[in-house]
Amino acid sequence: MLEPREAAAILKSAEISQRHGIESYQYNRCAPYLYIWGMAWMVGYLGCAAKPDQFDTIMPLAMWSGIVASVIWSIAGAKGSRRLDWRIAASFLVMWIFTYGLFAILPPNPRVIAAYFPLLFSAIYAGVGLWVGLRYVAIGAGLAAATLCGYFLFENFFFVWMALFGGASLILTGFWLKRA
Amino acid sequence: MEQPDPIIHQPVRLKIIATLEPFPRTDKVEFVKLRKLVGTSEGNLSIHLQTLEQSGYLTIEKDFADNKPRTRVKLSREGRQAYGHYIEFLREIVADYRQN
Repeated sequence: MLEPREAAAILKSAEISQRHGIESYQYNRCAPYLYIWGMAWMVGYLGCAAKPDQFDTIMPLAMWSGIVASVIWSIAGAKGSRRLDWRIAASFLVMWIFTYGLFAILPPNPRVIAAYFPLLFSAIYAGVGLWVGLRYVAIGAGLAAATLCGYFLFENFFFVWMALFGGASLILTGFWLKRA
Repeated sequence: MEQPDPIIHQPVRLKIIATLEPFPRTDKVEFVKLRKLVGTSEGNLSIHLQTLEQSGYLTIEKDFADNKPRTRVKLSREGRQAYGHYIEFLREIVADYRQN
């Protein structure tokens, strides 16, 4: 006969193991999105560094490429999953509306726009990480630190800085999550 | 009085099943990753995985990836059901105790 105290301890142990499984699963699911956004940012920022006058074309193109690729991946990856992946597409829509609204009331310059997106994603990663797993918090903090560092300290090389420390670090953290 | 499932009612095997449970039915988890998540030795994990496989609670798939041998495991439907019943069994014990 199992004692209630023993049963409660076993339940607690199962809950901890289940939590490890959930974290690992979520990290694995997130990794491809980091590859996608890492590539989009790297190409976008390098493009802006090479042709700063084309910023208005290159940056939206890079962002939309990232969004479309993320939505396609979430639809493809939804097979066999019990999670509702339409929320990923809806989340991008919410972010986009918020961004257009923000830029409408506070007209930005190209450098501000280039810093805004990494900061937005940093906040999202850190916020989600508080529920899902601490690795997301670390990614958010690292990305925000790199963005602010580049924005204030490397004004002349900001786009190159963001391509390397924004884009490349996202890809690397994708590998980090994949191993979790 | 109902007895707990003897296959799951073992600390390492319970950890294995509880860790695999959140993954979708189609997902296979690599042995190396599972060992890290469960926090046990390679030999110990292998023994318990065999027991779980023999009970039909999970399937073990061995193949090659990048010319390296790879072992992946997946929780079966029977494994999920057994885990669900086991957790329910434990919850009832705790709930009965609290009620009385």
